[in-house]
Amino acid sequence: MNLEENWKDKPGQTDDDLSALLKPGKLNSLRSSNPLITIQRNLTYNIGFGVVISLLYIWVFIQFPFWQVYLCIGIVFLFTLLGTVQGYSMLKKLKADRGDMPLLKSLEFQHEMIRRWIRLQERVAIAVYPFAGAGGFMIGGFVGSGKSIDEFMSKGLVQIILVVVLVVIVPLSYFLARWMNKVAFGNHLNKLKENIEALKN
Amino acid sequence: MSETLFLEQVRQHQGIIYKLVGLYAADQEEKKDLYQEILLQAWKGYPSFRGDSKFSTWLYRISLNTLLSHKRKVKRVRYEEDLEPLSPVVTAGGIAQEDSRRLHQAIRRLGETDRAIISLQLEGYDNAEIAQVLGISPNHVAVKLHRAKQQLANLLTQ
Repeated sequence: MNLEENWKDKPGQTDDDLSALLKPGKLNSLRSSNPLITIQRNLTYNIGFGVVISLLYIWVFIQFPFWQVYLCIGIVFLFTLLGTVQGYSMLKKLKADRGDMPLLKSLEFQHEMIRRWIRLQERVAIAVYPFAGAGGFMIGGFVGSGKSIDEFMSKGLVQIILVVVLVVIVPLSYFLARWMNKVAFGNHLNKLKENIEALKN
Repeated sequence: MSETLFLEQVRQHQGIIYKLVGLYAADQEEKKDLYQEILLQAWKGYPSFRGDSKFSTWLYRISLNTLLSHKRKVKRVRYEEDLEPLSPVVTAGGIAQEDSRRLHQAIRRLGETDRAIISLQLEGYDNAEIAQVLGISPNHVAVKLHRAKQQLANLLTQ
């Protein structure tokens, strides 16, 4: 069998599904399912959300002038800003991605970007959730009980509840975030890694 | 950027997309997804195409990058299970179309990266050009090509 001839001899060389897409006006209606495009979209939402939530934190500072709130929400505020800046830098890199890179580089780029996205989510989960949880708990107590935060937090039972809430919610949220990332990207990351290794070996 | 010019160039080289997608798509639904994804990536990258390489080579790169980094849907049937058995060997006087079908079936049974290497070689690219497209050294291409061809020969003589 002459391989080259048989490769070139493939009859038709096109099909209706492909031809239907090669018509003027079709290109702009196409939607991508590329994971990097999904991450780009999510990063854009996250950056927008980060800006809105930062403004909300400033409002909280003004409305609840207590040092405990300043401490907890202040830390969350800093991490949100940091996350937004990191997200923006990642978004710039993703937008500069050219689809005609050499295959190995392209696969490594996608693998690295997805891993960075997952790390960013997990870091946010670890760094932000405890303080956001504690801040929210104290504000909730202040609003609900009508007492000052010092008074509300002075009760032993309330302190125990806060610790229990943090001990339960923080790891739960962290592992939930990890699980969701695994479901969303786990198989795909493994496949990318497999192809990277296959090209290298 | 002219959509008309882009479409004209893609139409001229649509055989590349057709053949490559045929090697990687698990089913009709995925085939349609892959056509869309390749066209979208090519259209997005078209403004940066300066003609340093041939349009066909550039389209090959975009297509392979898209195919190998495409996120498969979780519940999709595994590719290997979806393969038809190889057609029986056809005699010397047999139909060329049958040979072509056997060849494509055999290539589909190779690993994803080997399919890329074999298709580039069959398309007429030399080792240095394949190395550039894949981002590995020409020597490494030669080794991988040798292994892939052996595997292909085994499949074709089955």
